[in-house]
Amino acid sequence: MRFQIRQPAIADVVQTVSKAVAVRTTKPVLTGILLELTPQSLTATAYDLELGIQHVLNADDENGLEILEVGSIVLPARYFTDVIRKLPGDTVSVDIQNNYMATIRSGSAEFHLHGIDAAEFPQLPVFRQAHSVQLPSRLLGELIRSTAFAASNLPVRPVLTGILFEFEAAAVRLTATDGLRLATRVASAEDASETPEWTSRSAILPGKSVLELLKILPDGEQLVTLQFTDTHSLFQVGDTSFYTRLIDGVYPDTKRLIPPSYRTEVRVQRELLHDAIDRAALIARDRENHMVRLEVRAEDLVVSSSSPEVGNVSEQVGVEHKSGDDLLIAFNARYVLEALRALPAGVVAVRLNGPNQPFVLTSAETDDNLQLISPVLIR
Amino acid sequence: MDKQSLFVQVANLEERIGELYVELGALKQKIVELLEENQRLLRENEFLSESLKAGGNPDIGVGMGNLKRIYDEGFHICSMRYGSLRTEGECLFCLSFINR
Ligand SMILES: [Zn+2]
Repeated sequence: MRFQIRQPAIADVVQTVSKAVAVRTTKPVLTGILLELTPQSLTATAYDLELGIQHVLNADDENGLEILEVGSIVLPARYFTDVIRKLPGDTVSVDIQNNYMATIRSGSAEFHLHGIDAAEFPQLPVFRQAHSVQLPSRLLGELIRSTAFAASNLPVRPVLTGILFEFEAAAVRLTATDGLRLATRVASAEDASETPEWTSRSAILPGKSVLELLKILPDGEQLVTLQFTDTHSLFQVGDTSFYTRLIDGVYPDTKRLIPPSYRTEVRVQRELLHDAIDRAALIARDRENHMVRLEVRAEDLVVSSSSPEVGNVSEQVGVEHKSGDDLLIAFNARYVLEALRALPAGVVAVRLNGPNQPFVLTSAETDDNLQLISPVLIR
Repeated sequence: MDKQSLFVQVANLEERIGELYVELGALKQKIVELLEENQRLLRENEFLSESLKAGGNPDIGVGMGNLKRIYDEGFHICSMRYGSLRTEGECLFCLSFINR
């Protein structure tokens, strides 16, 4: 196997796939990056058996890829990535000898790295006749950003560390909850399956993997194809394929968590509410639960916080509209701030059912993006 | 004194202390689990004997009151985390169960 390529092009490829390289493993081959050379392209793959990323680079003028001899090899990711990044020249040549030894030349530097037989690299999951939908990359990114933060970090209930993807007719819904707050967002999608069997299918994807996916999604209208089998999902955008294992188990029915009605509604500019809570949290930050209070009184909204050792703060926030009963509710400021950041800018609606009940934050225009928060009980 | 062997001894000791520390952590976790289970069994027993005294089948109303009390005492009553300690705040699943 022998090829030449421009340094920025290979550095970019290696960087993209390196997020799926295994860190802690007893199998050395998983700590490597698989390079495969065909007469037209160079394919790089990393796969830690949970997450897999593959990038195909077709030879063109920009990347200057020149294929001199086809073949394949696994190179140790840690060394290969750093070596590539620090090479002195604009062009890199890689040459693999029979004993799996790679010679990497650039400028006047010459590295020799021990590789592993490509035959030892695990196969990526196969997606034959899998169900698929398409979503613009930017929109998928928004769906993830609006929900992923609410997933649990604790392995006690593995399904809650995941993000639920639900496919309804021409729509995709993402939901995440750690039991203390819940985030859910729906968007329309195109059914790209040959057999349209999307209705009521769902999958639980590991939250950590989805956050890695977010890092490689381009910020544009480019379409991402989503495919699912019973055990794995695949996201394809451009020449990059992103594979992840699904979390096994049943996601709880979260629809019953969302209150069907409300007794109080306050509409307020997102930025005003966010910044007032952010300020109140300065006093609450060292206290348990970052507790901030919100009082709805007549036509006013008052955000406050107090701490016996630190002091207190109170701030009135101008509201656009208020309906229903007055109340005083307390919550964890961090959860509300994260929820507000997940909502679009503009007027948000806060919908409450008394001081001891979970409350909803959503856009005043549409509830496509809904954030549910459990209160901190004032005893 | 052989400095090399002294160093090896200290390194070995360090490793053993590290192992003991991990073991201690695991035992601590076990204690938490046992406490939780004990609490759950106590509650369950209490509930069952109360409903037995009340005569006949466990009544939904009494059961709900008990569950609410267990929740207020700091334990999950939801199917997600039933019987485990609530450490972080109010649970959406438990609250929806109580409100039903
Ligand atoms: Zn619970």
